[in-house]
Amino acid sequence: MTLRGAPGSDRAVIARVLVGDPAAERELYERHVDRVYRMVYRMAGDAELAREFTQDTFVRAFDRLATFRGEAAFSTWLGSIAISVTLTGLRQRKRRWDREIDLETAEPVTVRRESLEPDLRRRLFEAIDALPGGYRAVLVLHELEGYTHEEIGALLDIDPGTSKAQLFRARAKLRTALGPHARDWHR
Amino acid sequence: MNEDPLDRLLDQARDQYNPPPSSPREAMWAAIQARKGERQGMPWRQPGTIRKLAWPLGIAALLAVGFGLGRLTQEGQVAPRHALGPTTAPTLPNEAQGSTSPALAGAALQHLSRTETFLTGFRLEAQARVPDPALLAGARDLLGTTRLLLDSPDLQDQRVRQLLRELEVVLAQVAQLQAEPTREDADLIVRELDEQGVLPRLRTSIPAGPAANISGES
Repeated sequence: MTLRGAPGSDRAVIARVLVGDPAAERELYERHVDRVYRMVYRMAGDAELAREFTQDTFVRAFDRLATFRGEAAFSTWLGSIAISVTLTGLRQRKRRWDREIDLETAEPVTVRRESLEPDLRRRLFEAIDALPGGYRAVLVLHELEGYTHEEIGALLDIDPGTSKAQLFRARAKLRTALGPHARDWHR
Repeated sequence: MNEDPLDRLLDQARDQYNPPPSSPREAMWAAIQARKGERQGMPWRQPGTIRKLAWPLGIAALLAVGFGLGRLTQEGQVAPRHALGPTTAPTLPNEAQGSTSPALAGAALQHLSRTETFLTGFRLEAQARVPDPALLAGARDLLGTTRLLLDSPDLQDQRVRQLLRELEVVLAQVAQLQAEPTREDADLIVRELDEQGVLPRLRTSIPAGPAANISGES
């Protein structure tokens, strides 16, 4: 399939990348890197991880560029790779961290953080961190980054209705997690 | 209208939860280019290469594990051996190989040789006594490889595929026998093997040369 697009459009730039124009590759990167990094950083919460996941995203995207069919916007296609890379990377690291914590301290991270900064905001952030990957992705994208459920559906390859349901459940989990501090919460 | 307090909290979180710093564009671009450079030096990382090699490599890995397990489980047993023959590793005949890749054809040949050795041993054992469950355990491993080969779209030779389908049935029966081996059930399987001429057809599908040479066993 040949990608065609108006001069200067993502599709036109992709077509140049596919014929081996290195400047076009850089151009594509420059167009999208800030958005990808922002989204990844929101999910990862760590500069080093965000950098690693963003790099992985672009390496994969350039590898698979020939398979981009242009059915969705390039930004959506790239975003779905970024989310997949981030969720997988975070899951792998969580397993490793959990093992290291088991071996070294046997003390849950949340307890340590809680004792350091026991305010409601910190509790909310910890509750968001503790959400399952899919729920957290929907919550961060919708509530913090302002994506619509249709956009999230395209990014996560789920139905917009599923995105709504996951957001509902994510919010319910936050309420439960913050429940013991409801007095502060309602101030 | 009452505002949901959670909305208020999330509004506040918008600017405070993992607020992204500016992206380190140049450093990331340099890292991406470096990784691309590394990958260009690795021909097996080229698109499509892994897909082409996946089946032969997977089957070869399974065969290697199978041989290892076979050695462990059959240690001390007298395994049936072919007569001495040439020491060069045979290959599937050209007409049988068709457009199958050489790696896959080699894996298929190794598997057929190994299955022939196993079924010959099973036949001898079943004629003499109730087969030993340790011997029967080999059927499950061979069955797995048979299915893997049948699932491989690159194995296009229909004669080999038909033979593998028949072996799948026989090996499944032998594998089931492992749970509760009886002489009667073993006899039935042997009778079916003989009536359908599975072993002679298996032997004719393998060019001259002992299975031992193919597997690297001495």
